[in-house]
Amino acid sequence: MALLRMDGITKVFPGVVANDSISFDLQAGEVHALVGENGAGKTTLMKILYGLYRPDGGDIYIRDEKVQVNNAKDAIKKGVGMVHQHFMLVRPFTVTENIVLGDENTELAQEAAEEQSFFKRMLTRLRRVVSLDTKGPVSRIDGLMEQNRIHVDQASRIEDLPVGLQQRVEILKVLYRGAEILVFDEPTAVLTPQEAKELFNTFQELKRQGKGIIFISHKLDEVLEVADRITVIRGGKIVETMPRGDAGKQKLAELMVGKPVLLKVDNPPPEPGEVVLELDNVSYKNADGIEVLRNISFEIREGEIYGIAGVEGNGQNELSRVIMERAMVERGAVRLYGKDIESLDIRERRDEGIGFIPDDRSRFGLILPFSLTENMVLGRHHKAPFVNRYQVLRKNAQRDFARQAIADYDIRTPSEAVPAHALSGGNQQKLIIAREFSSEPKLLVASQPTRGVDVGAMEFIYKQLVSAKQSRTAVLLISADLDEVMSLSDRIGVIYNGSIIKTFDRETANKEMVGFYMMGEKGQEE
Amino acid sequence: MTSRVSRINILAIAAPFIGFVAALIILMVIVVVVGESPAKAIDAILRMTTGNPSRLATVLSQAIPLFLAGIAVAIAFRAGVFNIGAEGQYFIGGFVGALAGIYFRLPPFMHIPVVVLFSMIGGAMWAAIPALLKVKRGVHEVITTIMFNNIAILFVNYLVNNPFSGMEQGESLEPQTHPIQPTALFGKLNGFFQWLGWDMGDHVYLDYSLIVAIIMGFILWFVMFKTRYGFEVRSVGTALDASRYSGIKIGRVQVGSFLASGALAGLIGLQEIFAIRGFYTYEIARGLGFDGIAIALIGRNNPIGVIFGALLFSFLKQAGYGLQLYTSVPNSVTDVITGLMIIIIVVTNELIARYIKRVRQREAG
Amino acid sequence: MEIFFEFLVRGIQISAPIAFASIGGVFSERSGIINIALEGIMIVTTFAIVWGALVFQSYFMGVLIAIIAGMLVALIHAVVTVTYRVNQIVSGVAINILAVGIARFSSQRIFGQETQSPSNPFGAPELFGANVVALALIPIAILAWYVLFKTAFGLRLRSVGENPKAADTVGIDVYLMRYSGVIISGALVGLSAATLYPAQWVSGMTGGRGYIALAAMIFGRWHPIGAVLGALLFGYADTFRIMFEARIAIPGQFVQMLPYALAVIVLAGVVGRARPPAAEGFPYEKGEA
Repeated sequence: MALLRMDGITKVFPGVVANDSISFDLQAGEVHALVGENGAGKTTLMKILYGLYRPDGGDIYIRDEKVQVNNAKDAIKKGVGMVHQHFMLVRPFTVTENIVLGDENTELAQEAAEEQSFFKRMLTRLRRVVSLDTKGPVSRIDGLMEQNRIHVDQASRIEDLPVGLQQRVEILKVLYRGAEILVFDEPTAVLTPQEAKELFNTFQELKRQGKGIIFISHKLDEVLEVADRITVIRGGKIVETMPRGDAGKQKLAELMVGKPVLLKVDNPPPEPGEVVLELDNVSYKNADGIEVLRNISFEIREGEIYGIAGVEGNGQNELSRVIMERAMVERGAVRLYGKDIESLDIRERRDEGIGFIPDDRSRFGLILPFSLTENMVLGRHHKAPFVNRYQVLRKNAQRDFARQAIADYDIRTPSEAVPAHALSGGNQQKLIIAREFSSEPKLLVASQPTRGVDVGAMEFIYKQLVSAKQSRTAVLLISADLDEVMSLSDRIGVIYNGSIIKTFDRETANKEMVGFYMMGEKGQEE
Repeated sequence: MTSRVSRINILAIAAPFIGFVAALIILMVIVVVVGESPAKAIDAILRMTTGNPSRLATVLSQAIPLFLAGIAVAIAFRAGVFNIGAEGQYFIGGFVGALAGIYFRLPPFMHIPVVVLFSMIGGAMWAAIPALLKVKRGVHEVITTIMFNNIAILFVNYLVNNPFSGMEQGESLEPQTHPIQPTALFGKLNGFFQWLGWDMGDHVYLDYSLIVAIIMGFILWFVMFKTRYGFEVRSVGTALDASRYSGIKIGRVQVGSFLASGALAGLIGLQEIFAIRGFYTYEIARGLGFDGIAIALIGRNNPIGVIFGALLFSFLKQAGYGLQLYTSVPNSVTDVITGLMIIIIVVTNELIARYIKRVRQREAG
Repeated sequence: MEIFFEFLVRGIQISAPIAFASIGGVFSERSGIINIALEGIMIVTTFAIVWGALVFQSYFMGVLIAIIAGMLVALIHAVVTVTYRVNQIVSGVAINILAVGIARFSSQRIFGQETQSPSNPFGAPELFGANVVALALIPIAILAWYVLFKTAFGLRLRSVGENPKAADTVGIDVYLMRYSGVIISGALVGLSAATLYPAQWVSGMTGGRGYIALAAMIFGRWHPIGAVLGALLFGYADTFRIMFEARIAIPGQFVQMLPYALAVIVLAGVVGRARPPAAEGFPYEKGEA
């Protein structure tokens, strides 16, 4: 008997089929890994299981019984527990409070349910609201910790705990509610390797208790380490489900990425000139004090594209941050033409000739309610010819510039006066590209430049990146799409866990090798 | 696509009209409940507001400080900061301006600009601490400005009663400063309007503060829509992160807007202090800073919209007096429908936003 | 000795209206809703208590009416900010304007005078010369602390003010909790009216006490006992000013500024940092999780 069976689940969002009749099952005492690239449909499937989305088709069976999950409360009641990627914890509350929250006074709740007399039932319910049993839960949680070998000090406040312990609280929260099916959504993304190890030990304990675990990840070595079965999902469809014995890293990587539609990019060899950007042993800690960049060193020359390959969440966002912003670099230096730029703010860096294509265009790249013209000049609005020397905007110059860009970059729009949110995603991206390229940057940082755009726009963007290189711009290309990095870069650095662990030249790079390093494989020097 | 965009734009500016119409309907319901006939009430309102040229001029006169309050709040809103402290800023701004009017000896053509300037400096000073606390320490500006409002009123109370009291022994007037120099007093423009053919009485206050308001409104409009600074303010208020990555200095823009907001708020008291009273007292009209929030909201933070918002508020205030005078509906009905109108406008805005979101989702699919 | 006793009693009477409203503020803000409408709610409740007492010829009926009126006005704030997710400050400002109108309009219609009511002979019973409701302040503060920190309800209420998404994922009704917080604050402001001056309603009588209550709440770091201590500090400072104004060197206005200045200082982190509930001011859309 399967603990869980999801049968033919389909979910359609405007414009995309996120889940295309997916069938998935989970046995008791099993870790079933669900792997796939971002946007493959893993999260959607789990949100359906947890009652956050309603499926458009398909059925869910728990212990062979057909169920309908309408909301999170329902899911909890049916024994489904989710350990969210972003912890759902109340930071100033204690561990105990977080675990019992929403499920306080369990005994009274049971009593109320069993009570025959209406009056007494109401009275018990009232008692449930106006009291807060702390002793009972503390010993119950102690019992759970004992049983599952998870230890946290119950009196600590969440905000005082390191991330690894916070995650244990999330697990305890789920166990406290009697979950049989535990979903872990990329649980190791925020953990140190030691913490990850401990988590996997916990997996073993949970398996022994007969729980079922769904493990979502795109770190293949972890998956191969702990999963009993592995399901690969791509483009909303199941590609294959296999026992661990049948899976190898190479095979999984291929299944995950699929046979790509190879876009033909005419990419002439580089003619590298002077060094433009140099990162010298840069380390960086994020707000939580975790070192997310470690001793990163590389340089990019004029007329060359340097690609960063890697699974998302290995420090790519922080890398573009330390180049663009006055971030608190822990150690090391970022230099532009040999000059340390640490003290420069974003405007000064832009004035020095850095262009930036951010990964989240609607948040960081565009002011959506502003017109195309205004978005085109944003960032250069304070310079000639867009203002006169009294700082009055020269709207005609701006409009002409926008019109020219619309023509040059083939932006499909009724006019330059419409707001940016009226454009399609691909055209919004072209707008950003047009803006950043037309400032003729010396260094261009392109972060996920083709995310969410259609094939036509993608090809166009590739051509633009190559032509920027040909006009002597140094390009840093950060992309989760390995094919993109492979076909555009002259050199490739593989980032893993905040470090560049390997650099390839375009001649020596092949997809399998790069993919291998992306999974954190080291020490394979030939 | 263009037609959809324009339809959405029309919807987006519909809220103030819906709010106004709904407020009028509620007003008429109240009138009926009170036992008056709507016809009589409308007649009373019109008589008080547009009944003769003087009354129409009074509506304009009262709109002047309201307009200044509206643009003061609007400029902060544009940058994404909430200046609920206009109230305190005009108490302090007016006081600083009044000091310049009392103690400086200058010819009129200089004295009047100087008192205007000092009022602005006073208002900006009072806005400075909340602005810096927000940008440097992340302290919510709403709470600090509420506190600063109350501190301001007590502070000028102290100043007027003690160091700057203009009261002679045994006088029984309300506490006040020494009189403002005649060179700094705001004269009236009534003669000019009469010459134009607007047959208003001499008692109406259409004074130099109207000129100040027009100049400030124009400057604000120009800076906001025609210069680099306004562009940056609008960017920051619309999309903080995108502005930051484009190189705009967020902190500087927000502090600048807040100070500008305080400076404009410093002008709210000009008419009452320099044209009507001729001295400073903490008994000047209160609540205009809060009215300014509503007016900015109705005017959608656009100086031209704020003109309508201010006239509407002034109209409502006069309408209240009209009802009081000619019917049995009390004047306080103005506050009731003003409050309700604001609530209806913001709720309507939200409903329209939800509707637009739904339309977009449907079209995307 | 006698004067000390008088100081003690007057102090509690002067503090109580601020204290009740500040506890109210704690409930609202702990649930995530900024409530600058406290002032407006107080304006309505001070009218309601006089009207209620006169109609039912009983002080306590007046108190009941004031509590109901406070809850109704608070309900408007809750509907606008929780259900319609409107900016909480704008809603507060609108309610403060509306409240002035409601009180004055009602006074005009009911008592024929817009700015004051007739005097209300049904005053509060007194104990040691103090209004009994004012004396109930301490037990009520302890009750508020108990409710917020020792009951399941309080745990849930605080959780939606800190992390509504987390609360939502464990099945807590975020809207219900926020409505509760705001409406409880309205009820507590009813008690402010019971202690302010139930003998007569006069337009403007609240004199910004709703804002002082906000200051007390911040000073007390969003904790009911802290808020009451803040209110007592402000109230006694004011009592001291009133009783000994002639004999102290500091101008009275500066004593009155104390609450506001201290609130800013605490917020600025000059003497230890005051941290508001994390989700305060942010509307929540159910099912975001």
